Amino acid sequence: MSRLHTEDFGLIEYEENQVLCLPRGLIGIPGQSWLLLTREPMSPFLWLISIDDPSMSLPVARPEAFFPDYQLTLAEQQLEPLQLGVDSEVEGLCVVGADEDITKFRMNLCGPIIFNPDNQHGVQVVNLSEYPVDAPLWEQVGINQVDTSPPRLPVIEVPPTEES
Amino acid sequence: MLVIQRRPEEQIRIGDDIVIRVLGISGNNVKLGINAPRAIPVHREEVYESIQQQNRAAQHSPKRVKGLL
Repeated sequence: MSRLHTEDFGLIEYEENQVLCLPRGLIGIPGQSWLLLTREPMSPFLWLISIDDPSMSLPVARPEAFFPDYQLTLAEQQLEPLQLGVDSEVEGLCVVGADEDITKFRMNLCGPIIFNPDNQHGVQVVNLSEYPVDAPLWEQVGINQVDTSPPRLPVIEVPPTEES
Repeated sequence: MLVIQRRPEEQIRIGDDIVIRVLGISGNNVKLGINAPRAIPVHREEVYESIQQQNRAAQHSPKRVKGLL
């Protein structure tokens, strides 16, 4: 069991097999080791936090939850860091542009983070299907229609934030 | 910045294993072919920059959305 002290999520306890490995970091953000957190297991929103620099955390979600017909087009070499097997199915997470007002949330559909659930390696890629980096989140799906299935990746539950 | 003049079909080599070839020019467009090792990601600069900007903006979310997510 390892421990990570964070300002935003308190003390996080995790096992090595829960660590996600992003050998290239995120685009413009360094850091190879990350954890996926949830404050509310039924919420479609998760947090990706850097173990190397725990002040770095981004809200993410499965794009399919909000954009059921989301298409991913990639060149094979873009997924090279994932060491995919023949039958591997990938799992994608997109960065959420969060605001004080949940109706104004946006999603970066252009630069998804793709994971190989078998080895938990991930890479942020440029989707060759043309999508915006700031698609309005509630364009296709209503707030009560969101598919809240968790991604096929280890998710660590942290206590909900206290209302300040 | 190093400035090199090239004609269509001519190439530039960067290091041992990156080759950029000018495939053609038509009006304002230059078509480039890039041969690089698989481990080196190649991006259009404006796309790379906009993703980078979104990532960095999202990084400041925890304080902004306190109590919401």
